Amino acid sequence: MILIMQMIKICTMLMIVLIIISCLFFNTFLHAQEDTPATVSSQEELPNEIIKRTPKIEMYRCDECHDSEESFNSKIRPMAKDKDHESITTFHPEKKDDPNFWCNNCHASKNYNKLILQSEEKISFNESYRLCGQCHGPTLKDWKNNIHGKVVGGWLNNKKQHSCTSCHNAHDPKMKQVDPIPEPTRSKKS
Amino acid sequence: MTTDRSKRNKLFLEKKLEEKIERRTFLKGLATGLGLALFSPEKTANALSFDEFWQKHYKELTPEDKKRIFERIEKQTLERHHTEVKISDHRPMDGVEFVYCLNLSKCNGNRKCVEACQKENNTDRSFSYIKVLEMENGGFNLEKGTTHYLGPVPKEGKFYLPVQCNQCDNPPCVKACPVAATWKEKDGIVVIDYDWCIGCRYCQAACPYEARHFNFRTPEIPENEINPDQGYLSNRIRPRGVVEKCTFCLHRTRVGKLPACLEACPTGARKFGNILDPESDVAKIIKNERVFVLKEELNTLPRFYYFFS
Ligand code: HEC
Ligand code: HEC
Ligand code: HEC
Ligand code: HEC
Repeated sequence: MILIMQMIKICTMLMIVLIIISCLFFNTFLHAQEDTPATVSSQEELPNEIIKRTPKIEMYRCDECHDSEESFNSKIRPMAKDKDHESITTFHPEKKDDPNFWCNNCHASKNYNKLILQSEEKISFNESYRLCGQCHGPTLKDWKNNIHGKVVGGWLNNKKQHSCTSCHNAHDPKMKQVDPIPEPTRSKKS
Repeated sequence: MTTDRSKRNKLFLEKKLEEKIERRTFLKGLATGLGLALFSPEKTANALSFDEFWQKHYKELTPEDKKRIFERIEKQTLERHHTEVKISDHRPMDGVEFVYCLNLSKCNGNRKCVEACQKENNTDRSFSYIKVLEMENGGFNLEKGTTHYLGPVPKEGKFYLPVQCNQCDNPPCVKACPVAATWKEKDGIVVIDYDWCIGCRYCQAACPYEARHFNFRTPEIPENEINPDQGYLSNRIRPRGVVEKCTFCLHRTRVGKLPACLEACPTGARKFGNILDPESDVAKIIKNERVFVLKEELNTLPRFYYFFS
C-alpha cells in the first residue's frame, strides 16, 4: 500500500517537472518568434484586419485580359492612349530611365492577378502593404502602429485597417491637392 | 425678441452673480413676477408641456423618467421632423477615458470632418462643431489662423489645424455654468443637458477654444439627412436657445465605435481611443510622439492632443 502511494507521488513529481520544462522550452520558442525582424511575412499577425483591395480595383481580375502565359513586354514605354491603362502615366518610384524598374518589379509576370516581392514571393493585391514596406520600412512600422494610415470600424473592437493603396495611388503615390468641402457659413441658405 | 432675451439674461445673470442658487428655486421665486418672459420664445412657441417644464436635471432622472422623456422626444421629433429616431443614453464605460490625437503633418484641410460632424450630430448646416484653421507654417497663434480658406488644399507654406471641443479635464465652461447644465463625465466627455440649459452663454464665453455654439435659431436640418441614432446628451435635435458642442460622438464612442470625424478623415490624421489602455493607439502616440495641447498655459488640461509625424 505504502509502496503504491510512493509510486503515485513520484509520478506526479515527474509530471510537474516535465510540465515546467516544456513550458520553458515553449517560452523560448515564443520569444524567438517575437525577435524576428520587421518585414511582414504572410503568416505574421497584424494587429488589425486589413480591408481588402481586390473588390475596389476596377480592372481586377486581370486575367480577364491577360492570360497566364503572357509575360511582360519589358520595354519601358508609355501605356498606349487608346488602351486600357492609359491613366498609368507615372511609375513609382520615379525611375523612368531605369531599365531595371518597370511594371514587373511589382506585378508578377505570367500571373497578373498577383504582385511580386523582391524575394520573388507572389502576393495578393490585398497584401500590397508588404510590397510598399520593402522600400518604406519606417512608414510600414508606423502604419502597423496606426500612426500612419487609418483604422476604422471601432476603437474597442471591430478594427479594420486601410491598406496603403486605399489612400495612395500605387503608380503615383504623392498626395495631390484637393478641393475642400466649402466652409459652412451663416449666410448660406439651407 | 432679442431685447426680451437680453433683458431676461441680464436680470438672470445679475441674480446669479450674487449667489449660486438652484434653477428650480430661482424659477419658482420669479415665476409670478416675470411670467412668460422667463422662457425662451422658442419654448413658449412650442408650448412647453407641464412635463417638460418640471423635468428634473439629467442626473436626478430615474430610469422611468428617462423612458418617458425619451419617448416624448421621439414623438416630438416624428411630429416636427417627420423622422423616426431612437434616443439612447449610453453611460461611460468602466476603465475608459477618451483621448483624441490629431496628426498635423497629415491634415490637409479638406473639411471632410466638418461635413461628417454636421450630419452625425444633426447640427444646423450653417456651422459645425469643428473649425479648421489655415495657419502660417511656423506660427502657432490661433488668432492668426483663418477658417475662410478656399481650394485647392493643402497650400504651400500653410498647415491646417482642426479645432473642436477639447473635453478639458479642468473645464472652464463647466465652472461658468450657473445652473450646472454642463458637466464632465467619468470618461472625460463634457456634456450638456439641453433641457436644463438656460441659454445664458456663460460657458461659450468661458471656452478658450471657441468650441461652443449657441443656437440663435431653430436648427435647420434637411429632413432626409437626419441621423436617427441620437444620444440624449449628444446629437439629439436641439431646440433654439441652448448651447451645444462636440461630445466626441458619445452615442457612438460609448458603444465602441469611432467618432464620425475620424471615420470621415481621408488622410488618417485623426486618432481616438482609451488612454487608460496602454496598448491603445492613443496611449502609444502620447508615449512616443511629441504631443502638445492648445493654450496649455490656461491649465484647462485638454484631452485633445496634437502632434506632427
Ligand atoms: C480590359 C482589359 C485589361 C484588363 C482587365 C487588364 N489589362 Fe493590363 N493591359 C491591357 C492592355 C490592352 C495592355 C497593353 C497596353 C500597352 O501596351 O499600351 C495591358 C498592359 C499591361 C501591363 C504592361 C505589360 C507589359 O508588357 O509591359 C501590365 C503590367 C498590366 N497590363 C497589368 C494589369 C493588371 C495588374 C491588371 C489587373 C489589375 C490588368 N492589367 C488588367 C488590358 C487589360
Ligand atoms: C511600385 C510598384 C508598382 C509598379 C512599378 C507598377 N504597379 Fe501597378 N499596381 C501596384 C499596386 C500595389 C497595385 C494595387 C493598387 C490597389 O490596391 O488599388 C497596382 C494596380 C495596378 C492596376 C489595377 C489598378 C489600376 O490602377 O488600374 C493596373 C492596371 C496596373 N497596376 C498596371 C501597371 C502597369 C501597366 C505598370 C507599369 C507601367 C505598373 N502597374 C507598375 C504596384 C505597382
Ligand atoms: C522599389 C522601392 C519602392 C517600392 C516598392 C515602393 N516605393 Fe514608394 N518610394 C520609393 C522611392 C525611392 C521614393 C522617393 C523617395 C523620395 O523622393 O524621397 C518613394 C516615394 C513614395 C512616396 C512619397 C511621394 C512624395 O513625393 O511625397 C509615397 C507616398 C510612396 N512612395 C508610397 C508608396 C506606396 C503606397 C507603395 C506601395 C504601393 C510604394 N511606395 C512602393 C520607393 C518605393
Ligand atoms: C489613411 C490614408 C493613408 C494610408 C492608409 C497610408 N498613407 Fe501614406 N500618407 C498619407 C498622407 C495623408 C500622407 C501625407 C501627404 C504628403 O506628405 O504628401 C502620406 C505620406 C506618405 C509618405 C511620404 C512620407 C511621409 O511619411 O510623409 C510615404 C512614403 C507613405 N505615405 C507611404 C505609405 C505606405 C507604405 C503605406 C502603407 C503601409 C501608407 N502610406 C498608408 C495617407 C495614407
